[in-house]
Order: sequence, then structure tokens, then C-alpha cells
Amino acid sequence: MRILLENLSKHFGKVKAVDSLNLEIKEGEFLVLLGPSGCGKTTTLLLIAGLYKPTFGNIYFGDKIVDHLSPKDRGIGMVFQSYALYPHMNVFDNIAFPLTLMKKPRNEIEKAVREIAKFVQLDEELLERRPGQLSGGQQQRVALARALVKGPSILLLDEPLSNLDAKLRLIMRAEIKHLQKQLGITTILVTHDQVEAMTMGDRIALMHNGKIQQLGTPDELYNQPINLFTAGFIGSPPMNIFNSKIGRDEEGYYILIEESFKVRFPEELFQKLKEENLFLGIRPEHVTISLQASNNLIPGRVYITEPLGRETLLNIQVGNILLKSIVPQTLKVSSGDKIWINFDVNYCHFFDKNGERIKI
Amino acid sequence: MMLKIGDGVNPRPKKINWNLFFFLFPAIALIIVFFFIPVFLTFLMSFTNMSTSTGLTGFKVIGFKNYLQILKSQWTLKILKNTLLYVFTTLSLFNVGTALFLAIFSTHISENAGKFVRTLWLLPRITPSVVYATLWTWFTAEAPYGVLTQFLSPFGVTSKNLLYTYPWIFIILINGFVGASFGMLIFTSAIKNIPPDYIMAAQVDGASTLQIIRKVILPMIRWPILFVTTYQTLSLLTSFEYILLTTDGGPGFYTTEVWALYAYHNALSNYYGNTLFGFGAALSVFLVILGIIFSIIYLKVFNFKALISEPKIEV
Repeated sequence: MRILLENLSKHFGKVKAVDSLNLEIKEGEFLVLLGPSGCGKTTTLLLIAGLYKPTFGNIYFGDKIVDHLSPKDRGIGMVFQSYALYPHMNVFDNIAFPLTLMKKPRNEIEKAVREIAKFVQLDEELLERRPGQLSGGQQQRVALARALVKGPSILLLDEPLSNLDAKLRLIMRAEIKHLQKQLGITTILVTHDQVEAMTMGDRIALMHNGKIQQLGTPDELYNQPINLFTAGFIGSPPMNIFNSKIGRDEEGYYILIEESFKVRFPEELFQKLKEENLFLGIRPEHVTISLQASNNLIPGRVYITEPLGRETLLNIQVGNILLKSIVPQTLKVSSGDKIWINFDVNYCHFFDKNGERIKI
Repeated sequence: MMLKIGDGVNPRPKKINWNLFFFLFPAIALIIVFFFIPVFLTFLMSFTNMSTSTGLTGFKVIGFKNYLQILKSQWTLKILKNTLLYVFTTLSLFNVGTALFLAIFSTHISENAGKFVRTLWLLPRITPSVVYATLWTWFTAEAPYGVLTQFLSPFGVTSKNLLYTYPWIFIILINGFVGASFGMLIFTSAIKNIPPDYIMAAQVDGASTLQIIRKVILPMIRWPILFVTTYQTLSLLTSFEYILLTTDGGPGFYTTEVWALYAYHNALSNYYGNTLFGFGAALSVFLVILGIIFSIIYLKVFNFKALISEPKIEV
């Protein structure tokens, strides 16, 4: 089912939790609402679910406005962060609850529950247990089964993985993505975890202050952040972002980083950079390291090393600023070592003083 | 593998914690002096013929005679019936019934309206008993004093003292209006403590408000319901002050006399002036036993063990 949000707003008193949101979610798409806490992503989800009524704006499912419909009439299934499994019912009754309310015949319910339990890989023997007797992963499967049992056309997931331990989260991440592709069900997932968003979503809507900052594929958000917020939010460790200034001396144009050191780029770049003051962003993996001095390389010193296993995160001091670089673990350096760094112009991001991306 | 807390994981050497005794001492001392000793003395007293005429020294130990007298008395059955009628009607209609209704109602309307409703229902409880009882006796009196008969007169009700005409209805109303607020407060806080996720999940699952109340909220506040039911049964069993202040067991002979009032009348306020401490004590012991029986029945009915099942820790 296609979902369209049109100028959707939700105000709580003076707080604009969701502020004129426009968003189209395609049929069968897996969309992730990503953002820091308080950005309005969960409010947006609850609006789509019909649990909140919008202050302004409309929500369409397909071509129909659903604003006036209560949650039960919207054909949605939902998984909550806490799973919200009814503690006084056993697993079977929890999954069967939506069907019981629809007053379906007993044998039909029985069949549907067992089928969906099998689909989410929930052991038959667990059906008689109480939710409190299940592990986090099993509870998650029950919550998914309950959301899917009445065959909804939209699946809403509110931080479904955040209560799981790291290992289980990895397993369920892949599994939910697999389930979604198998069913082809339009799915919206809310998360604050960018890794979850990058790995699971077909597209990501990054939210901040009730507005969508950037909507795009994980690849677009990572490689072409349209503003400073996206650039700083997406990526771990985050992008190095510097307050910069364009200057010119006898050797030609340069960019002065944090009033501290100069980086030289090809002349043609500077024809596109109109403003003198700007922000330069570069991801840690694009800051290249050399152990020998050479022309155009910037001298620095290893401040601290953080081995991550597969690679090493270097904190490098250049002048009086610190920047991060990711290097292969085979590069053996230690605190205090002198090194030289280089910024690859192809991987530099430029933002104007309002934080908007400057297209190069 | 499931392990229960305290299954020998991380054993600690047993050491007497003297701090514990120090801090518990005041409470323990109070409970011993004002609860255990009186209960014990009452129990002993119930085997004597102590009364105003014997005084505190001239009494004799008479064994189970007081208890036999209770069993033989022609009034025992009447008073027992009165007590059960009083306790269970007030309990089900008001102390649990109205309390639940008020708690659910006041949490489903706007926050401020809810607070207003709850405050209104707290007024009888914070009114001094004598004032409250007097208000009711005036309220139910015949014209020209009684407000209620005047309101009812357009509907063809002739002026009469309503309290004495329908004593049970008013005994239950008088106690119920006070009693409902306790459960109301407990249930309200229990309902407000239910994480909103459950309610939202039920809405998405397709439940109507009534279905949410019946299938989600009520099962989730079973423990407070058990607590209020048990606690209020016991407090109703032993309460008699509003009956004393309004009908005093009347009108007529023992019409609204309940067990606790009967014990009071015998032990402390006898018509003949010779108050029977020993007999009253036996009546009280009987009441305690009745209370214990009800408590056990409740724990069974509500499946108390399941309510406090131990948490499981996954290893």
C-alpha cells in the first residue's frame, strides 16, 4: 500500500513535534525514519498508525484519506519498542488477540496463529508460555507475529531492535529485512540507530526538529549529504567537519582549516566555491596517511590510536585541531608518531555557512 | 537454562546485620505494644467472664463458655447475616465496584476533569465521621428538615424518615461513599502505571475502549483489585462507626447490628450497664477468624501465587 503524507503536522502545545511533513512511501518499500531522540520520528509513526490525530495535514493510504479512520480500520500491524505483549495472556492468545477481536471462528484462528508462528520461526512449544518466560528475541518474534497475523497491508516498527542485545540485534536485523522482502509489505521502521537504518532501509528519511532533513537511499545519505546535519549524523565514526576559509597566496588558492593549517586543491575547484567562509567535511576513511613527508602533505602527530579490530581509528593532531582517520590495522603507528595526511578532493564535502551542500 | 534468583549463584556469607535491627526496632516495638499484646490479651480475655461487675481482679476463667454462648445465642445468625450483607454489598457496590468505575472513568476523561471527579469523591473521607453521619441523618430526615424527602415529594414520596424506613440502603450508601475513594485512588494509580504501549497495541489490534478495559486494563490491575478487595473486606468487617452514629444497630431489635457493633455493644456500651469484656473479646476473636477465612479464600480465588511468580533470569 502506498502511503502519502501531505503537510502532516502534530503540535503538542507550542512544540511542533512534526512540522509540515511531505513524504511518499512506495508500495512494498521499506522506509526508515531515522533521527535523534525528540526529532518527531515516533510521533510520525503514531500519526500514520492513527494513534495520534494530526494537527494539520493529511495521510493517504493508496488514494484514500485515512485521517478519520481509527487504528483498527487502517489495515496496519505494529511492533512496539517494548513489544507490549499482554503479560496475562499466553503467547498463543497474544498472537490470536487481533483475530479474537474480529470474532473469527476458533479453528481459523488456530490455523492462522500456527502458520504465522512458523513464519516468524517461533517454536510451537512456546505458544503455551507467558511472554515473561520468553527471551528478548522470542518476544520480538511474538510481537511480529501478532502484528502480521491479520494480514495487514502496512507494517509499522517502532525501534523494534533497541531492547535486544548486540548479537541478537544483528540476527533480527537481517531477519526482519528478509521477512519484509518475502511479504513485500510496505514497512516503516523508526530508529535512532544509523547502522540499523543503513542496513535495513530501501530509503531513509532523516528527521530533525520535526522536519525531514534528507530523504534518499542509504548510499545517497552517506555519499551526498545535503546538509551539515546529515553529514554529521550519518557515519560512524562521524565525518570530520571543519570551519574553513578560502584564501590565496603566491602558490595559489588554498583552504584554511580552523584557522590552523592550509590545504591546497586543484584550481578549478575554487571556481565553484563562491563564498569565502564554508564548511569542509571529510569522512575518516578518506583522510589518507603517509609516513613520509612530501609536497602538499600536511604534517601532523598521532594523538591516540583506537584499534577497532579490522581497522584502526587514528586521532590525529594537526596544529591545534584533532581529526579522525581510519587506517588498515596493518599500519602500525602509536601516540606521538609524526605522520603526514592528505585530503582527497573527490571525497571532500563542502557546505555553505547555512549548512547547505555546495554542489561541485 | 533458567535460573531463579538466589539459586546459589554468587553465595554470600551469612552475617547478622545489626543495622537492620536498629532501624526496624521502633516499628517492631510499636507493632508489639499496640498490636500483638492487645490481640494476645483479647484472646486470653475471651476465656474469662470479665465484666464491669467482676472488675479487673474478680473474674474467673470459664473456658469456652463465651464461645458456646455465641453459638447458642438466638441473635448470632441474624447478626452474622447482617454482617455479610453489610460487608459484601458495600464492598461489591462501592469499595470495589464504584471505585473501579471511578478509576476507569476518571482516567478516560481529560486530566483536569478526572482530578475534579476524584477530589469530589475524596470529600466524604476527609469529613470527620460525626459531621458526615450527622449530615446524612439530616439529609434523610422527614420534612421540614430532610432535604431528600423534599426532593422526592414531587414524585409522590410521602415525607418520612428515610434512614429508619430503609435502613440498609442508607447504611450501605453512607459507608460506600466513604469506602469508594480508597479503591479509587489505588486503582487510578495502577491504571496510570500501565505503559501506554499496551493500550496503543490493543487499539492497533482492533480493540474498542470497552474491550481494552475488559481485556487489557482489568487483567493488568488484578493485583491491586485483590489487595483492595481483601483490605476492604477486613476493614468493613471491623468497621461500625457510621452505623453506630446513625442507626446504632436499629431501628428495632438488631435490624442493622453488625458483628463489630455487637461486640462493641456487649463489651463497652451495654444497655444494662454491666459491660461484658470477656464475651466481647470472644466476639472479636470470632471476627478475626472470619477475616482470616475470607483472606484465604481471596488468595485462592485470585491465584495469588501466579501474581507474584518469581522473575526468570536467562543465562
